[in-house]
Amino acid sequence: MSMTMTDGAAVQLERPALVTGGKTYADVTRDICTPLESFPTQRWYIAITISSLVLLMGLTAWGITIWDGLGHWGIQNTNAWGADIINFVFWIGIGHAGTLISAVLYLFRQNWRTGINRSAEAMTIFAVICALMYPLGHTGRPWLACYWLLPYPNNMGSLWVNFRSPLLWDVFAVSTYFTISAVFWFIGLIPDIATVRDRAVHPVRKAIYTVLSFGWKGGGRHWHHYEKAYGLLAGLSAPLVLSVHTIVSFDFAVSNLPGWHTTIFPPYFVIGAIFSGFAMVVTLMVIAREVFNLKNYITINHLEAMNKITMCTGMLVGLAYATEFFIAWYSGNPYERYVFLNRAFGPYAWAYWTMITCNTLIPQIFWFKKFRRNVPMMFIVSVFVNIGMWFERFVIVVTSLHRDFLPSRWMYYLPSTTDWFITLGSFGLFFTLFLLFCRFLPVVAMAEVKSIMPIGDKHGH
Amino acid sequence: MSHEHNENKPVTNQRFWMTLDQKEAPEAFAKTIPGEFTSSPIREGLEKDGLDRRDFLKVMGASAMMASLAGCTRRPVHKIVPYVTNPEEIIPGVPNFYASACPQTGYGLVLRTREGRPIKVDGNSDHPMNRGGLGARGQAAVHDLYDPDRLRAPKIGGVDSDWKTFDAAVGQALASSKGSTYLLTSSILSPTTLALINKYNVKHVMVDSIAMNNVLDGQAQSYGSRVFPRFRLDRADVIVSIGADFLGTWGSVVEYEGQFSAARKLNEKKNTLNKLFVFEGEMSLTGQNADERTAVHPADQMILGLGLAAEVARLTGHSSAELSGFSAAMAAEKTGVPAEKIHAAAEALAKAKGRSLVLADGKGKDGVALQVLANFMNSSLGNEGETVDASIAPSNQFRGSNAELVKLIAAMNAGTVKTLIIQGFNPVYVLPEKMGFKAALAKVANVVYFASHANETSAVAKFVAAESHSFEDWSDVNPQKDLYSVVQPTIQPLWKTKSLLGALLDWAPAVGVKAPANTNDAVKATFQELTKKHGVSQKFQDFWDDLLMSGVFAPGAKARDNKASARSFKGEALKAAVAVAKTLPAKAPFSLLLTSSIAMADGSQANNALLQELPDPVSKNVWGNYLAVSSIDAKAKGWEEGDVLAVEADGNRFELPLYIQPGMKAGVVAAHLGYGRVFNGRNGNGVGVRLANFLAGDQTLVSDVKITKTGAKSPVACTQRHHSLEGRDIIFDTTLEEYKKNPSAGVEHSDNEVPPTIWSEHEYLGYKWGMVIDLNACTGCSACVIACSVENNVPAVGKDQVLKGREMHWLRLDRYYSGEAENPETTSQAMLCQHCDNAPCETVCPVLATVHSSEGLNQMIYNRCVGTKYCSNNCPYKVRRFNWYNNNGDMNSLMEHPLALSKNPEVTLRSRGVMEKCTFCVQRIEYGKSEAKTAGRRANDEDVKTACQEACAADAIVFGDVNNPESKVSKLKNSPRGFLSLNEVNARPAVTYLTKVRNRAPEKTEKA
Amino acid sequence: MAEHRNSQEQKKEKKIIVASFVLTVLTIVAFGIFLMPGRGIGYSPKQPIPFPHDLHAGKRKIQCLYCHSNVDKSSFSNIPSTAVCMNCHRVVKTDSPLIQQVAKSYETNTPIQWVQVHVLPDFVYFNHQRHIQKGVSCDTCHGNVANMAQVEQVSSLSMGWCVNCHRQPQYQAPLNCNTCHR
Repeated sequence: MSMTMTDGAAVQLERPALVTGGKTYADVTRDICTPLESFPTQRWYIAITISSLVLLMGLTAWGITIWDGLGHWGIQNTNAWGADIINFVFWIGIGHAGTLISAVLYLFRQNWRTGINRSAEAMTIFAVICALMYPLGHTGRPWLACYWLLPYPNNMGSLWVNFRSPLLWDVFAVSTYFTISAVFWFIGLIPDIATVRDRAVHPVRKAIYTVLSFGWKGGGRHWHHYEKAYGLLAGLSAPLVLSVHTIVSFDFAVSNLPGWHTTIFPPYFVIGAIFSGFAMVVTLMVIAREVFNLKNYITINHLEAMNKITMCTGMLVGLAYATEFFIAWYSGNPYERYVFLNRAFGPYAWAYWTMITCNTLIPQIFWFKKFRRNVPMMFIVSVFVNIGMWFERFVIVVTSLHRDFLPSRWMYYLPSTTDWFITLGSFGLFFTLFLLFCRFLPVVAMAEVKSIMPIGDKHGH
Repeated sequence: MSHEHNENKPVTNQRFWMTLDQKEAPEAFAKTIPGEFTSSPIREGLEKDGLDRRDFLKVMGASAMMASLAGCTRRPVHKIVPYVTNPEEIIPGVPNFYASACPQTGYGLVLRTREGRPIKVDGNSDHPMNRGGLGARGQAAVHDLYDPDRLRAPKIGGVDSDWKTFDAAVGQALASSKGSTYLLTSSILSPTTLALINKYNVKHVMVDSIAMNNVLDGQAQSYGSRVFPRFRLDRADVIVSIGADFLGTWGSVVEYEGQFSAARKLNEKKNTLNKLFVFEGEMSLTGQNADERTAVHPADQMILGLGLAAEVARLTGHSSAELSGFSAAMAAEKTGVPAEKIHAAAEALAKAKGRSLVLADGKGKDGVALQVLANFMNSSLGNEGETVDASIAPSNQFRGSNAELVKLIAAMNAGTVKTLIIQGFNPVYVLPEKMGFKAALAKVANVVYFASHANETSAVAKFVAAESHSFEDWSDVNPQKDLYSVVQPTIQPLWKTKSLLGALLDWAPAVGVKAPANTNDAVKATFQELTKKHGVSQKFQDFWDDLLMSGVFAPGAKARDNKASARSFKGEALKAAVAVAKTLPAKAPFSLLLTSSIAMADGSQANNALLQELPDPVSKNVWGNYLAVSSIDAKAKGWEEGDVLAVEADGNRFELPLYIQPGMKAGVVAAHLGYGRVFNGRNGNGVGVRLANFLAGDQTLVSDVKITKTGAKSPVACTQRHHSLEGRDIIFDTTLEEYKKNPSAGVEHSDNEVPPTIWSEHEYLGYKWGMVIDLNACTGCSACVIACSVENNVPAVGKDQVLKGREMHWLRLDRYYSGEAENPETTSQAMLCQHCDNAPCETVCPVLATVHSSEGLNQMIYNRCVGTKYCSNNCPYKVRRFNWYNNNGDMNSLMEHPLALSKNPEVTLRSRGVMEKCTFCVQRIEYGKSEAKTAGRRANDEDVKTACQEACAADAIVFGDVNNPESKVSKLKNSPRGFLSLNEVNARPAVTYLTKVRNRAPEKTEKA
Repeated sequence: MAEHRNSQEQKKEKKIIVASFVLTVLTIVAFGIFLMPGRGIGYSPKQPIPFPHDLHAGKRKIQCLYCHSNVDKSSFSNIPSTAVCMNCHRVVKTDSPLIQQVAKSYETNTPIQWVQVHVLPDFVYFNHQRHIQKGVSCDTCHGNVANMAQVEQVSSLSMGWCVNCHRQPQYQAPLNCNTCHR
């Protein structure tokens, strides 16, 4: 961050270059498109085989569950929700950072987002795909749930759905979220796909990219419509960052279970989502910039900015934990008090303290610039954060369910092997999709990166 | 509406505690909380018994094609098959009711049949003994009838044959062994069968699986007549039980429970309670219902009895020389029972002369002696003739004699027995090895064994006769003097089976006995004689039709209520008893007490999955027996929940997981008989461990056993994993004194008025169904749990699913401890769907599968439910049950015959992935309303009874229309003792509980 | 370079999009028909013995309740047992082969396997007795059986169809779910 003195005018801090290495436009296109056009590296093949094997394991576990019954999972009459809902909330949470980066930061004109917004948005869509398995899969009869959860006119006197139920709001919230982020992501892709199409040689690749590019000619009118559409969609998906996870938090906040029925849940979940989302973006970007050597486009400054946000949201989540305890004590409700005492010192204290350390203590390391800019350190911290956030959902779902109103029904819950297979399977799906994305679509938004490079911006402002 | 009621609620009431450690050392306990988890589900392996290759491919196919389109199959062609000639009493869709009786206990039954098959059995409310009540085992009898593992044809030498050859062979065997034929059965109540057996002039030996020889021998020594008297608990204001579990498995339980609970009811007119003192070693169901319970080592019961007898003799002026050496102080010092407890019992008995009762059950060699003491006390208190009736209507239910059995075995060894017919008794399983029955059996040429399943005894019997169920053939019962009922068949025998009476009638010609052709004629002949004997003026055919309709013929009915003749107590019996007391063996560090479980009793219904899964009323454990140890021993020896202990005594050894039972006497361990059976049964075969070898004659106490920790761990499947209230407003109890001062004692500190709500309230113009459960009348016997499961097709799910917390009972009895750790008091709360007006489950179901009806019911629509399970999470009472697997077999293939016949056609069978819960027996409500509408009136208490209400012998459950002011439930709803469970959650349940009122002095420390 | 893509390529693209659009519409319509409610209307299976209602109920004016006697006494409406047929056909038209088939069933005591026309799912508990006592006549739901040679399903018997009637205020029919589902 160098300082330039001008004659008394407002001091203009010089922003660090977002694209380093003196790249020209041609360099940008070549750097981003070469991984698409050449045979994938051997490392890519290893990664995709591992992740698809893990995915296969998850699918088998899903098959067994749907074939034989939910009995294969660890859930029972006292804890009727377990690893299934934990994974659902975890994956939906991870998605939110992508939308924030691509939509909210776009509206805030934060140019540093251009390097990472495409892959972050892709991560959102893949995370939501992983999450979408659970709303249907965790029901007892998915072959009926898939259409009965939708308010369609029917011959049962038109028996509609229960609009008071948060699970139904989930159906609307998550499907809206998925469609808007997919459309937003795809529209952002069109100019780049057109570039790839023009460079494509192999007839089949050319045909596919041609169809995908929707006849983009790069003419003035196209760009005009593109900018307007992109701005509109950014505006539309910005509130989604807040609304979707608020509705997911309503799944718990609307119930009367002690520990769930608190008004802190919506902001608490949204911050938690952004927190775990940014951690996952950091994890993926650290790997992607190594494998596809995009160090010049996803610079240390990008990662540092994200680490700052991660630490900030981490402390906010810590604040939310403290607020929960205070409100439980302040409310004087014996059930609430018991739940939080039991959460910190009961049979699940191990999960609770894992969560506290991973979410609030470990990110504090980012106070030091040295660690904020140290790649291996940030990778480790981001993985810990996501582990912590998985345990946060575990603590929320399980500690309130396993000991609520009637002591005679108290029971300890542990996910079964099938649960663990499905959880790992969802990570398998996520990484498989991400690797395929990196193989077939440009990882960095070339059009946007070019627009913020100094060459394009002659007058240097 | 004041909102600060939260603040002024007193500090949580420390009387209730979570576990035993919390009681003694709360601070130490707080440290242990993090480590404590009561029962964690076993880590789930991916496959039940290995996933072989073809399954793997099948599964892979399914997972790829995840959401199959359910609606695309064309509708299958349905057939309607009418009768050829319609039997006139059967209208498809309309149930018929037949009065019958239970051959083992003699209680009156009413069988509900649909399309010619019984689907539900209940007590006959006109029967003077059980007055409409029926025990858990009786309720489950319907599922024994349709058990697919039953023997389907007689066997000769292990090979299936038919009745013609079987009768010929047995007839020939009987003819050849005239004079040396023996018949070994359990107590037979049927006068027809007994008369026929006399004609056969065979030597008839009766043995009871749950032996009552001590009582009979005690009566013989004390009064000269070997009879099991009728104990009239309804007339007893004070009851003292020394080891006699009369509410659990001792004696005519359902009769006693009805009478006991009637005295526990409280209302404006009646504010008195009977008082129950219990002195026992293990924790029994009677002990749980005691007002004053004291733990005493079973070996010390005799000394305690002598101490009490001495005190009672002194107070009633009957002190005799033999008892001079004994007193309460001496007994207290020897047994460790506080002297004031013995004094209190003695004074209470003395104050209630002629209106009290002493019951005893000696576990060791003191069996008969303790009975003599009890008889002495009853005589000196003037109870003889009042509450102990041995002349008007003594019981015929228990006529077994152990001595006769020993003589039979001797005869068998001597070779004088050529043919032995065994029925209603499984000697090879029930009798201990050392009695040598199995060896003796080998010496008998022809063994004819009547059995419903191929079991331990049928394996060594040459002739195995497939026995009919009692619902399949005619018979009759005479449980008490001058009280007769008919056992009516309600179904054609499912398989080629016969009852003992039927077989004896068929073999009569071969033995030259003149007997009627079939069971119906035989029973009719008996009743013809009875009508002559008792001077019935009615024409026999009319009498017979009335009898079949009412189910009871009680010529002695009027006499049952007046005073019986008081027999005089023989002094020398007391001298003999005192002499026996001196010869008792010294107490060893550990003694094993063999108890009978309420679900399994003698193990004959082991293959009944409902009974195997019935949570034991005391320990709530299911599927197998366990070693109950006292909390003191567990702490001293460092035993934890689930440890497997090995128990050895004179050459016999068994291993069982332990269960820490608060309230047991230190030095005593207890385990249930009736388990560990080996027979061709899919449910009960090999469940638990057989302990019969530890029995010695009638003694169920093994005085000296060695207990070692095997180090192995095996979790006990338990349905209630937590026993404390945590100081929450779930149930309330109080004492009689406080109740008299203020009828809503115990309840008033919980704000009983209903908190405000933001939801618009339902308004009920027509019916508003509600229920009241009297915690004071409920003894916790769990018959309602089985009745509910039979009525509503609720499946049993097996031990591993119960271990994972997935039991399916719609109604459960939560048992909460209170008071001190070593000797806790217990309250049983029947918890079922509360049908809340402000139901938390209705707001969260996304597909409207559970909605509120205009009559106050929380409806559960199985075909609409997709199984998100949010309703179960949001229910504060956790009364919803989920079908994790297909519990009713694969839905599109037929259920294995004849299981389908046991299902109630009025209730939908739930498939996998569907939530289910108590529906207040909505099929009965709809049927009752339909009947009332046809009769043009509003449904009343008689039209609609839920299955649990009908099964309850204690009449603790009252159900009805709250909007109808004359209905019993609306009167009880505003009883001062009434409270709503978890009221501050404001779900506004439709079930009101009435406080448990204990008849003892209020605890000093208890903060009101 | 994108500008001068010739119009021929663009036309191809348009054709693809239009074709795919038409295809999806077709599948939706096909499925719709396949799953159309009221599929049951017009369902008229062949019976083992073709019993002519038009002759018995129509021409001979035999009361419905003569054969379906339990309809006002139970929730099930019973199909007459062979004995009921034999009340008349012991003497009437005994030469006809169809009647001989009925007589054979009566003598050999083997019931006739009629094919059910009005099929409700197992989880629906329809109560004939309540409807008959309320005065709902048979043809409201079963149509004019009196002139059907072979019984045919006239109404869809779908939930919406039942609820429609129950909603009419003048019938005061219960609308609780447990009325039919329990």
